[in-house]
Amino acid sequence: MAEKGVKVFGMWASPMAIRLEWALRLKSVVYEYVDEDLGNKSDALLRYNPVTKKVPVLVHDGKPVVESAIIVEYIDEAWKDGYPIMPADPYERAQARFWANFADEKDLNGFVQCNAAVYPVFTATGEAQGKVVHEAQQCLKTLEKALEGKKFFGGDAVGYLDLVVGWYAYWLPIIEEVSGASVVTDEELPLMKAWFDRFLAVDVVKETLPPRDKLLALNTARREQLLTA
Amino acid sequence: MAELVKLIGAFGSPFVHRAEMALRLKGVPYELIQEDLNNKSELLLRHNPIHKSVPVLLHGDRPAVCESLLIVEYVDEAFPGPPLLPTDPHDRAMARFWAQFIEHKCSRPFWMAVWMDDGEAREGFVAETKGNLALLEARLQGKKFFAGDAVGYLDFAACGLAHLLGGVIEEVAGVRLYGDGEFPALRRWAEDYTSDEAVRACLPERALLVAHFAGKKDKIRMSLRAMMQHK
Repeated sequence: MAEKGVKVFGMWASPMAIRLEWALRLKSVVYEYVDEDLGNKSDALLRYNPVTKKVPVLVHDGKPVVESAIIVEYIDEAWKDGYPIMPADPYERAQARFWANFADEKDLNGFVQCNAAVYPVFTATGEAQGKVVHEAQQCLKTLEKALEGKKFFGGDAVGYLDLVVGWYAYWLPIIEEVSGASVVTDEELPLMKAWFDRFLAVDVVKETLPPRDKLLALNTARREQLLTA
Repeated sequence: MAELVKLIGAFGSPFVHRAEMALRLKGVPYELIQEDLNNKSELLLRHNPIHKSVPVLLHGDRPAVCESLLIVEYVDEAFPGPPLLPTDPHDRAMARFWAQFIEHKCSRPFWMAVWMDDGEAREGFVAETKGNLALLEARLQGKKFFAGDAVGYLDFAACGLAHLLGGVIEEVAGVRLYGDGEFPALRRWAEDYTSDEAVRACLPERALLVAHFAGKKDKIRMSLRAMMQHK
């Protein structure tokens, strides 16, 4: 009895889960989306990902794959005849992965990189906000270098790095609205701002974005919760 | 005519070791440039301006490849030779996941716990490491190395953990966090790994490693305290 097909275990508001949807849709792969209640995780999720118990998880013919950036590379390799997500050249691939790590992880000395610099913007208030906004902008300015002279991080078309950092294009303006901060502006980050517009116009992105008002309401409520905790 | 490969490294670094193992197992000749991390060269700072760390791979005239696990994947993809990572996409994804898990959930908190001052924070790291090492121990059951009968990607990705499990770091720091009976399969793996012939060619002897870390221990403790405060 072989389990067949493709399932995504995600959560509608999760920017990490949406990466998988973008990748699968670029490959024209049909998948079933399982929307998890993170406060009450399904048995299936815990069975497929007993180690970290997190979303997203991709299950392909019964085999689970975890960690969204790793899953995106997996999707590229498992459906290698479809849309090319990773660059072809080994050096370009190393560069794409390098910037993805820069965006996603704390570096090994514990200093913040992009995501870790962006999250505090969500809850910072008053004077502290100015400082965290500046740090976030510094990180994004470094990342922006990878865009120079190109339409997308991937070149003329979206690629791996666009999928990894693409969530900024939709989630950052919401974080800005909810917190009152101003991070990605024409003055500070012109290339990034222009890329936001181009990225949001891509078909697979448009098709999958969660409703803005719903996401805004969720994040407004979450912010209030965090600030009063 | 093969292009020159240079690796900027530093003595005793498990990250540099990963890159060296990748080059050696792939059969790629390289020139090792040893850095004094207390006095970083212009070459290193020019090629890795963001992280300023080793290893850095220079392949011909190409710009640098930084970050040890990325260097490993680059070496695997750019040069002919036996594959370093598994070839099946699912196995590759698993290998990448466990390499990350070992780095962030095992080696990192283990390292922190060894060097930190006694207290609640350290207890947290000790407990976190213990739970994660148990998961890793389960991955090893029945196998000599993570990769099977011979050393492979996940084994050299876990080199830093071999130092930790082998007691090198604990000896220098003067602590003992886990009992001898804990994690038997992982302790056996650490011994088998560090005695493997291919590994020994690019891994300093235990006594030299102990001396090396002993020389750095004040600096390590200081930078750890600074990092904890920065959080």
